[in-house]
Amino acid sequence: MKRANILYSLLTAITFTSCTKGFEDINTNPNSPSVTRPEYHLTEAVTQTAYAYAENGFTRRPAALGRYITLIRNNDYELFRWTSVDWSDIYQRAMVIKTMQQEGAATGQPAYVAAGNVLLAFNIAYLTDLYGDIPYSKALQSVENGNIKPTYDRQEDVYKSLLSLLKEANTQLMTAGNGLNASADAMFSGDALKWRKLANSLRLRMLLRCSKNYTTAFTEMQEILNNK
Amino acid sequence: MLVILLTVCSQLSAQQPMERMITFKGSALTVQQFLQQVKSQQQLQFTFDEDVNALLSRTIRIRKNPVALKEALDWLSADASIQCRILNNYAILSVIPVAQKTPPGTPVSASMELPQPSTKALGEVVVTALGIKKSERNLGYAVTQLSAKDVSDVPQPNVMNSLAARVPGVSVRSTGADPGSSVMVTIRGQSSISKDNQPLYVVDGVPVAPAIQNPSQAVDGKQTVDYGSPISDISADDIASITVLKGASAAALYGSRAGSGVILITTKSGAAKKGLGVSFNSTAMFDKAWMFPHFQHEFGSGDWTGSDNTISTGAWGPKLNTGRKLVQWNSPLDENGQPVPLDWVSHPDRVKDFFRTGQTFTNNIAVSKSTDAGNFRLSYGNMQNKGIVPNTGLKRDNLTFSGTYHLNKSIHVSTNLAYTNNRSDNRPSAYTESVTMQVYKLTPNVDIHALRNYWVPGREGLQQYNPYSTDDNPWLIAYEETNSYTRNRITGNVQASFDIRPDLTLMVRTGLDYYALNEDQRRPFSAKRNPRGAYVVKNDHFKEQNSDFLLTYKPVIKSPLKVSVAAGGNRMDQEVMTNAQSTGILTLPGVYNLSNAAAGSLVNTQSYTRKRINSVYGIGEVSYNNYLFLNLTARNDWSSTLPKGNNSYFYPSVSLSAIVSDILNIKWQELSYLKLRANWSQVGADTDPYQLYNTVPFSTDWGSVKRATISFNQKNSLLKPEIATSYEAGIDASFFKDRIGFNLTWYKTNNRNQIIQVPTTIASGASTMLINAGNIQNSGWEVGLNLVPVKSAITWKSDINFTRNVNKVITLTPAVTSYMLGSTDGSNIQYLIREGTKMGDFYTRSWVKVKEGPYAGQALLNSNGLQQQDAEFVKIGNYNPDFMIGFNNNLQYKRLTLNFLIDWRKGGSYYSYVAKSLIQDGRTKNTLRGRDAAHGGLTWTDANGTLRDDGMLMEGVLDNGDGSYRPNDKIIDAATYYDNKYWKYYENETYTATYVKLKEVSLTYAFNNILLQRIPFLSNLSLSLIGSNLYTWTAARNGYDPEITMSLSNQRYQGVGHWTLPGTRSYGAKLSCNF
Repeated sequence: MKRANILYSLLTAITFTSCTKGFEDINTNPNSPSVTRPEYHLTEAVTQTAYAYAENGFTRRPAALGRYITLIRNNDYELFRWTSVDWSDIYQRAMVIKTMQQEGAATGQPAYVAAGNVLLAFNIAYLTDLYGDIPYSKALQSVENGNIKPTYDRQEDVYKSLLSLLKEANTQLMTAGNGLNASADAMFSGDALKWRKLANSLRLRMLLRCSKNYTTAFTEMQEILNNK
Repeated sequence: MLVILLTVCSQLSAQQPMERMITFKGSALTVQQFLQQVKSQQQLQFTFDEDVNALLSRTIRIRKNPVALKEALDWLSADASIQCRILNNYAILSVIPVAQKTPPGTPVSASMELPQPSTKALGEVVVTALGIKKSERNLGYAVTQLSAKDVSDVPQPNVMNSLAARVPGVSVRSTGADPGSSVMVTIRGQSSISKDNQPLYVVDGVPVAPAIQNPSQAVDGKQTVDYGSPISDISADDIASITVLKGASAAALYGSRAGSGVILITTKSGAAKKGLGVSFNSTAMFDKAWMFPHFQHEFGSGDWTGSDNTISTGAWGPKLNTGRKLVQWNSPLDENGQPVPLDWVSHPDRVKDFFRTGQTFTNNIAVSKSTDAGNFRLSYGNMQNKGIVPNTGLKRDNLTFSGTYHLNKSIHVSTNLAYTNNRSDNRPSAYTESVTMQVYKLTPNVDIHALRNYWVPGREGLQQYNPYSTDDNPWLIAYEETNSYTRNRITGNVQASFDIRPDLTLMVRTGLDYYALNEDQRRPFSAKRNPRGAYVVKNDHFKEQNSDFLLTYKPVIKSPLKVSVAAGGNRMDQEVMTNAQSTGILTLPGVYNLSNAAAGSLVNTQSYTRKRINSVYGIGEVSYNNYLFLNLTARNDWSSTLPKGNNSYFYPSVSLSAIVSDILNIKWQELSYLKLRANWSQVGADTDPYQLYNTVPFSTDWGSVKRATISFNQKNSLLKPEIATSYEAGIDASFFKDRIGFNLTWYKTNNRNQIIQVPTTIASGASTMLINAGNIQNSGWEVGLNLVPVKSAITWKSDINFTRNVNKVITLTPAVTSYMLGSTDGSNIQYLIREGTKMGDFYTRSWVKVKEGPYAGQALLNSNGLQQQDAEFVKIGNYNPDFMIGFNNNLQYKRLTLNFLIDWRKGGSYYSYVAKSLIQDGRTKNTLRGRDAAHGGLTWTDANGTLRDDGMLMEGVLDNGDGSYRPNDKIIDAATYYDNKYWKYYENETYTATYVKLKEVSLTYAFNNILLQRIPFLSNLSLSLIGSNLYTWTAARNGYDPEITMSLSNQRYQGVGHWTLPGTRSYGAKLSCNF
């Protein structure tokens, strides 16, 4: 009986004290960090946006569709079949930008939030120009609240929303635009003024595009021109 | 040990009937029966009316047959309860009762009466979970055990091939014709959506590395290389037995990793034979490629029969062997720089001549010794293979040691150690742009020998010599695009067992499996994918350590009700490390060193994963009167991969076995044994490491600046363990003194809560999410028949097994009704899982058909008379067979034994990308129709006004524009016809996978030991002629072997044929002897 008791306590000891000890440590991924710095995402977002934009302009969709280039093969790009390539790419970039903004906010670097808004507007505007109505206000929330079925927003609302986002970005850049890592910013080397110029030109372009249906377009354009 | 006993017995029974009988105090019984009864003393009631001393003189006489008996006697002499001597022409066995069982002087009853139970009734001993040996009669589940003979008669370089067609419920598929190919083993169907559905392998009680590794994709991203499964490191000559634990109940004690069954491998030990023994086996096997697609040799390179362009990758060109001379790929230039026409002749052996005869030489020598203090066995094996593709091969050395030492009467220590080295200077590649593709795609006018010098003269190392700039020269692939590797592996365990009391034993053990795999892949300058060469170096390290203990309590109970219990625990630690450097641009040709990588071209990848599972388990067995058995097991796992709160899971199992023939005391001649069995169990499963939280991966550097992306596959910190519930029931019966044995098993398993990555919309910020979902059901029947149709001078034994598994997707998840398991051919073939369907279904887009009216069902062609693609994906096949039948035969006449094994798989289908590709380019015979008037071509005038005779009509109808249709009247040329019909319409190259294979044949002659007495030391000399895959009959009759037809890209896709090596047949000889 005594022996059985010892065995029993030995078993219990093995079973319940060490069964899950160190598990969290073991299951922590050592291959990549759980958080990183916003500047790494900035380089990713800027370069990927630029590559995709340039590629489309030269060899793909709008260029082929407008017959600026001829692909001969009668492929999807020439037949108004977008496929999901841009859709996926742009939402992926948008998610990288969103992550960058969160990291910028968390580490007290508001410049990344501001530049992120410009990049986000650039990408989403391109997306809505290609596809029309798109998920926007409820998009990119899977991590936050598990929404995996974001609803579509009307293009008009997306435009309005992006216009105010760009306006906000301009203000943010004016007050807290400095602080972008110059070498990470592959586009403007951290020059806040250039980012503001981009934000405003982008807003101008969008306003011009919707000017026929957006009554205050020209007022807002003037507002931008007056912005110093 | 039992295996050897049975071998001995079967050898004895091969003698004349008279000699097989022995007399024991008036009772006639066979030697086999006698030996088995002695061994399983539970059946033998030793009741004597004399004292012990008198017993010593009791003898059994066996008529002379010293040769076969000698072995039996050797073995028997190792058993303390039996004594034996050989006197002149008689062997004398004396039975000495073991002291405890019949204490001296115990007065006992009358003379001995031996019942004649069948061998089945006595029950073979099988190795079950945790290495516990149990009599087959007390198992409540189906289990199949293969003997050493099964795996070593026709030794396979990958021993898992020996399981094919031998085990009901198990599908074994070699993934290639090369002997070093990995083997996929699927037990009772695919049950897991996200896992590889491969069993857990346990060698000598210790789980080892996963049996299957994904093929390695070199830097070019096209050719893939199979570096073989680590399980193939075990030499067939070292295996004592293989037990297949099929159901969840049988495997429940192995926990979460046993979801797809367990294969227990027991290696040989020195305990089998007293004294020193040396055994030697030598095998030579030759592989010959013979299953080729049916190539055409009538038309050469070109776009159509009248075409001027005769340097084309298409084989639609002018007719060959007409005495013409035409400009060709290898035409020399004349003084004016014009190509000189050459003889327009066919080279029908262009494919066959590329492949050589493969050779595999295997040698194994083992030394063993057994004494009272312990035993050991030391074995060395060497395998040398040359593949059918020139300059490919595989070499393997294994050294194994097993030893047991009895420190004293109650403490025993033992160890198994194995070191294996696998190496190859070049492994054959598969998939797109492999040699198979480049050889198969040669047009019929190309002489393969003319390509043998694969460099352009004067530009060696820089520019390859190839017929078409779009393709690599196959000889260049074989000799310069090499994929070498070395795998060094150490497996081993140390074990100590303590007999604390006669009824209480404690076993403690730790086992290690470690291997380092170094891959090295080279691509020369001018290779199609890497014009400036490429080089990849990859190092993998795998380590798994299992430490366990088991405490067994077997009280001696004098009542018919017996109970035994055991409890144990296990800790598993697994580490996988990968390190790779690659460059897609070299600076100098031919220098394969990472320092030769072009500036900025080096890519580094590294990963490390770690996992731990802690487990405790308990076993209880209750038996009544040795005919009713209840087995209970319980196990709890704690896995590091699951979130806190969900990382502990419990799985119970219950199994019941009833020997009905004993319970009802049936003593019919017709029915000698009847057993009913049933079980229920639940098994949990975890997932891979790091599936709970997302991390931020760095992407490639942008110049000198780092970039970080995010992972779009959203992890889940609320994962739950997967749960599989299974039921199984079965019957085992034996009739006419074991002349007919029958077993039947029915099972049903439901795998719920599977951890799968489901697609979401990227608009949510993640493209996939990891969730618990699904309920996949597998149910099926397994039938085994063991027959002895002839038992006279010739003995014919025949084992037939039947397997049918039916898979059903019961539910996925409310959010996802269709899940893509994978896709191939640019997502044009999709493996979709949908509720109510079966796993293994594949889907594609068909052509537009007329919906109604007199032409309903016919293809609706476009205005050019061509088929049009439909938008919907429809099911075109399922790669799993409807049923499988294995037919294993053993015929014995005197010293000659013939074994043959037939594997029949019925149903299932596969899509062949190879067939499609060859048809589209006009390379196979099925593209001859319509090429010219002689082949039924229609006369027509093409757009250029040329009168041609290669017109064809696509089957189908044209739309008249008013809602009516007319039969197609738009003539198109043959090349367009085949291109349109086959390139996009995958069901046209989807074939039935039914096949019958003569899997193994061996003809063995065992030499008479008396003859061998002139050669001292030598005994048990046998010589065999052996063959494997000697003949394959396929229902599709198209030159593809359905077994090895699969796609080896970054994963293994069944049901699709991508460029793999042609089917081979192997034949050779084997010599074995003992010293």
